[in-house]
Amino acid sequence: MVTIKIYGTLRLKCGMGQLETYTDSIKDACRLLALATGTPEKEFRRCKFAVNGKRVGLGTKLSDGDELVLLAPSGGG
Amino acid sequence: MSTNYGGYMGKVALVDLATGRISEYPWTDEERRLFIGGKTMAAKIISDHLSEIVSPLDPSNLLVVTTGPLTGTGAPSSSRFNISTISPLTGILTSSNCGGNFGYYLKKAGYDALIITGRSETPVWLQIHNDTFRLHPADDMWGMLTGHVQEHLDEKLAEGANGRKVKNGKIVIGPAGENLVRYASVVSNERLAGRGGVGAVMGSKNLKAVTVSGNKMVQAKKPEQMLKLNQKWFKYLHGHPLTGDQMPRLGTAGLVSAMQFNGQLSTKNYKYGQYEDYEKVNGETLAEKYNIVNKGCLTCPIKCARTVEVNGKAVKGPELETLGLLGGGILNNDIELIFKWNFELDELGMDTISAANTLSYAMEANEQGLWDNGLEFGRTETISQLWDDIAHRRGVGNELAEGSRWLSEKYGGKDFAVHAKGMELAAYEPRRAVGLGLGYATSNRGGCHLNGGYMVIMEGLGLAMDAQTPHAKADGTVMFQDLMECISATGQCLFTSYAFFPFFLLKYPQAWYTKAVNKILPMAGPVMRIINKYPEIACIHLPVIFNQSKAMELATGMNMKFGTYIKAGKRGYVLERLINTKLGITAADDKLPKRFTDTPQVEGDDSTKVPLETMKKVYYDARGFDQNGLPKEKILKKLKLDNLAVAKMPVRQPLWEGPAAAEKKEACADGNH
Amino acid sequence: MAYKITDNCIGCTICAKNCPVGAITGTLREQHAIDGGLCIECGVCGKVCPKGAVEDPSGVPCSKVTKEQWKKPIIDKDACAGCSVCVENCPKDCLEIEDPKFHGDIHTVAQLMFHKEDACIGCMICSKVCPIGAITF
Repeated sequence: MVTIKIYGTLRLKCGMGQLETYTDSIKDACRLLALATGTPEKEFRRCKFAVNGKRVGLGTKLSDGDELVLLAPSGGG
Repeated sequence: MSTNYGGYMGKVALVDLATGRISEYPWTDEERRLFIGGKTMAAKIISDHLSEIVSPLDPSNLLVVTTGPLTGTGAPSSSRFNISTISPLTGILTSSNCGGNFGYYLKKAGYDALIITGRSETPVWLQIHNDTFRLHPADDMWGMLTGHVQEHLDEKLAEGANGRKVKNGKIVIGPAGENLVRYASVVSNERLAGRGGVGAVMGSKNLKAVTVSGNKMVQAKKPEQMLKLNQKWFKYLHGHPLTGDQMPRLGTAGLVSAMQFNGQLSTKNYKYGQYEDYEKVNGETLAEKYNIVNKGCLTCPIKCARTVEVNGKAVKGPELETLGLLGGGILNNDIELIFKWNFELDELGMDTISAANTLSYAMEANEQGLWDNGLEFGRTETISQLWDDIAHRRGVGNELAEGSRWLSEKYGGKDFAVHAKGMELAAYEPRRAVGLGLGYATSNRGGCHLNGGYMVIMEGLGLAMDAQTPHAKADGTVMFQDLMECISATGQCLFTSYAFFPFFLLKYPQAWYTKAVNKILPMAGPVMRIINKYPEIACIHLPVIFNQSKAMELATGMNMKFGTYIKAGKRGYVLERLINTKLGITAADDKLPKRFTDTPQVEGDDSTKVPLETMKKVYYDARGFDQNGLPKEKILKKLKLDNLAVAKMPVRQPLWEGPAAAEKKEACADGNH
Repeated sequence: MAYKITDNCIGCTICAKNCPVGAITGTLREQHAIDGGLCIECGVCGKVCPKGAVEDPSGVPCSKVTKEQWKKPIIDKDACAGCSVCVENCPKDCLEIEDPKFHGDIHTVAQLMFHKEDACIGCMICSKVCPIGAITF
């Protein structure tokens, strides 16, 4: 089981902040998110990612118990 | 004194509260061209009287309220006005920018700026309608909260107009300003000129409020072209991912998650860069559960302000700084409490950033056994009462009202008293955005992220260049400091400059071109240096992304291109620096607490410290300062600052008063008895 | 720069009653006067004067327009950014930024208040001050 959390405007757009699911990679997680929310997959794939608090790239594999964070592009304040 | 430029009203009013005398302050077109308006204009005015100012809270200090030439012309987010003075918090020049409607109405009354000097014997408020200035007694308003006093003033104005509502702009202070809390703010509608203690200076003058109204209109030089530019510009801001989506949806609060992600979220008095309960106090939670509607300052299409409910009333919601510093900063995970405190601080008229940081310093000082004050991280039940005690200077609040620099001089713990030049830092933890660390240290008004160049937007929030490298940070800081200086001077909001970054770089952070830009940026120092050294070579308007210079040209009729725009900003920045150096500021004051420069944020990873000295060397070079941080003759000459009175003035004793000065005064007073 | 009342004035006080900023003073059956420091050039005095005794700032006499013929602002909802300049400048306070249509609605725009439509005097000030020309009459 992997816990996926979404932040930024994407969270408001897709109406979901958190999802717990079985998945083995970030790419697959994006596909599942698109299915679950109806938001286009590319919206998720263009995010910044972190697994267990560490910044990673899109090609990263996931294992059981990981926490994946998706941060929609943001800036400024 | 009228003007040939458009956008300006052509008059500056000088009010001496000691004598009640109103006069017109001379301000020429040459000065308009060189010093634009806003904080730069204010700096010039203060510089001309610097030798006469005895101390920040002395009647001789000037409170200078300025607007910009774009205020009232319809340019996006242009209702901002600026209040500058010599700050009781830092003892140097401070400038505080506010989004209330006072500036808009000041121009309707026919004035570009209002200078207040002297001190009234009794509390007063000033009413301005066009050229009529009237001082009224304010004894009945003294002690009133800022919301109440604004309602009360509306009633008073209506009384004087046969019961008809009078449209007006106001600046008022709350109890904190009256009681000279060093970080008291000035309030206009729901917006605040928060930083640097401008409210205390207003309070020291016994001035509770100023109302202004009038029936004049601002005339742009080329109104048709201005309208066309505005249409294009509004559309661009609307379509940009930051100004058209993120800011209205999440407000500045939307950055909490991004900062957590980057390790930039100040936590437990800046000891850590991440807060485990951030999800309870972030912008997404605020937007999903609490925000009623997003609101904007007058003339703003971005509309980043929040509205939340406190005690059954819809009030302004917190900004990022307040959420970060009163959340993770003091280990509080109750967002509703932050709403309530934010509202209370506004009503009392106090800066939330300085108040929160002074509090977190006090908590840490208590934890370390330096000062037994009963305040503990995570203990929140007494804090509402504490704000009231600070504003009325009761008990421990009386000392907290002096700010963290003063407290650390008295009780120790300078390493973790998080201020620069006396002003407390914003919520961004600089060890994971070292460029912003340099900005905090060199910023003219003290620890401010905006006056400091806001490099963090390229260090993880927005673009993602290497946040730990010192490369290109100094030149980038200089460039953005200058740019933002001029945007403020014209009367516009700095948020219009977000659109400076093309949308595709922000929208597609994983794309090859974005990654390439991020990789190249640390090497771009020399390129930025060319613009920094010779801004005049950029004698074009930047297309699409930067409309500010063109708007200035159309509104005023000045010859203003991107290069001249940057140069005007540079002139303002260096002038402010020049004023500060005459008040004793040198390179030794451009510093950060040791927490940031000596202790890595991530244990064992030395790159998570701010390499301040390395960056400072390059910074002074890029600025045209000597290594002691003083502007060289050459740069003064180039910016036409060498002939100003302030350039020839000798360096004065610092004006900031620490605890030792207070003790001395007390001893003197005792001696007299 | 303000409206002016000429000798044709019969002192009927209608203009003073209608002036939204209280700029007109005078007693019944005597000539009234407009305070140039208060007048915002909304022109309602000219529209209600039965005698055509009001001149606009350029010296042209105004003619009476019946209330039914006063024009109402048309706001281009797609262009409007909700910057509230019109709301702030409306002398009759009959414009507002609409309430959000749903939770999280960020595109709230200006509108003529439903219950105050009659209050609108058709002064066109909103149209003059709109930074992007999104209001027409």
